[in-house]
Amino acid sequence: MPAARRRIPPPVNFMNYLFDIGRYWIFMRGLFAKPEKFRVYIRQIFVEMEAMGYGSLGIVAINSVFMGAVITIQSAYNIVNPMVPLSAIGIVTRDSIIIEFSPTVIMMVLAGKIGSSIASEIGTMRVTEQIDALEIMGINSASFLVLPKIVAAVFILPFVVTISMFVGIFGGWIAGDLTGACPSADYLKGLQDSFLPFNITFALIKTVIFAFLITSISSYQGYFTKGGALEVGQSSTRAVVFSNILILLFDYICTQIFLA
Amino acid sequence: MIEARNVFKKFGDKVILDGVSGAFSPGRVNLVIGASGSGKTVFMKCLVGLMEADSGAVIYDEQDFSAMNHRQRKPIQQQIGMLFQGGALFDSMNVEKNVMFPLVMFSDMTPAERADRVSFCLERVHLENAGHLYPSEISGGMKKRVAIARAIANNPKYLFCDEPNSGLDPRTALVIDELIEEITEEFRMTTIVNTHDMNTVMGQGNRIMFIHQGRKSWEGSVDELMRSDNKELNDFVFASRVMQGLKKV
Ligand SMILES: Nc1ncnc2c1ncn2[C@@H]1O[C@H](COP(=O)(O)OP(=O)(O)O)[C@@H](O)[C@H]1O
Ligand SMILES: [Mg+2]
Repeated sequence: MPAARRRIPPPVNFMNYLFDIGRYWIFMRGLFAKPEKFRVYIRQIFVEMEAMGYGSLGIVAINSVFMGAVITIQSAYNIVNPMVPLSAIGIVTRDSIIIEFSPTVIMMVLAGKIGSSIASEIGTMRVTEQIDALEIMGINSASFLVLPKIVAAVFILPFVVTISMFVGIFGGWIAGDLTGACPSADYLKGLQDSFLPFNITFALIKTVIFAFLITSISSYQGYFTKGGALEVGQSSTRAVVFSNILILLFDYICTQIFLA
Repeated sequence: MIEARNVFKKFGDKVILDGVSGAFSPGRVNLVIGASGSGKTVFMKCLVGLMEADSGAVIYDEQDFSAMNHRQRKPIQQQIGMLFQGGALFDSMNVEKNVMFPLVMFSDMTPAERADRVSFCLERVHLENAGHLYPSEISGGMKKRVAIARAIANNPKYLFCDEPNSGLDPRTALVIDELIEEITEEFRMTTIVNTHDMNTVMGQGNRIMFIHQGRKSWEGSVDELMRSDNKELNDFVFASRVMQGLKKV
């Protein structure tokens, strides 16, 4: 059987982006309606927090440990000048993890995990008429499905990212010590050198923004899915792609605003 | 009673509903029949407000539903139960939670009262022992029955069924049809059923509306249908061999 030709949309379609931005905006405004049953929303928020927070710990821990290890070893490799003390490795690792790797890279990993799951969940509900079933009961389906996810993510992901920071720095410590790239004493000394608490604040601000972007973009992609199982998969892919692009864009904007 | 007045709907340039009017009376099953793609689902979605008609009016018991905004519609929508073509059960909830959902959202019942109501509804559709199963674990016919139980949980005045027995074997299809008819009479609901299944038409067609390419082409009862000389209707009805045989005798 000859392979079916898939219709592949052009990579950049400016009018489509404008349309999406407009519809996303209207979608977001529609979310903040008065909830039908407050108690149900609250319960849903806790369910989502467990899925997004507790459910992400494994993937976040593994990624963070290796990230920390790689940063430590690479920093050691890059520091060739004998004038620079080894403790600088501790400083570099700590700051890159706090400022960039935990909030941005880990959130991009989570965009893959959480974003695709949100888009496919809501997309499936759309194509199997479950969203119509909510609407017919008089429930604001967008708000009912999406708001608890956004609230949960904005609340719980800063904790996840904070854990990732600890795990990443720990991973760097272990790797540096085991490979001899950075002895324990130097690393620990570096960790305490010239620490800026604002970096943590900055990281958590970014995390909150990224959490909002991931959940709202993925929900949007899922909610406006048309068609069947194939389109649900496409929505899920788009959710991850757009989340990642916007995370990087807003990472740049935040850095410009807060650090420049 | 539900009334549609001159409902008109198009998607892009394509006219889907071209001025459909009709009245649907309480306490019985009103059928809307027509070929696939004739616009039955779109018509039903316009009636319940899932789609907005471009022009025309939808009237629920003298109240102009189509002229209301979202908030004004809520009291009416809470009296609507709808059975979707695929069942549209919530995958994340088991059967019992599915049926309980409208009660949790819209009633002030205590948990005990809710549980009572859920077991009543599940018994009504003969599924008293399936409460703990998830939608992925039950058959198509059971899904439809759960969907009926969920649709009637809040005691609706109006029941809409979009092809309730599509994809079911004839025996199960008959069970679903009879269930809808019994429930309609028992609770005196205004029921509208979309179908292209001639078994359903022959079984419960005391009031039938035939849609052909977005237009109401005919309406009447089964007896009238058998004698009608409407060409489009005859093409549709007597497309099946069984029905051709029936016509001859
Ligand atoms: N959301 C939509 N957008 C565009 N066209 C639609 C939409 N929904 C239905 N249609 C078109 O309307 C026509 C009638 O569809 P439908 O009401 O589902 O038919 P049926 O009688 O089989 O239920 C079909 O040609 C379908 O392609
Ligand atoms: Mg249909």
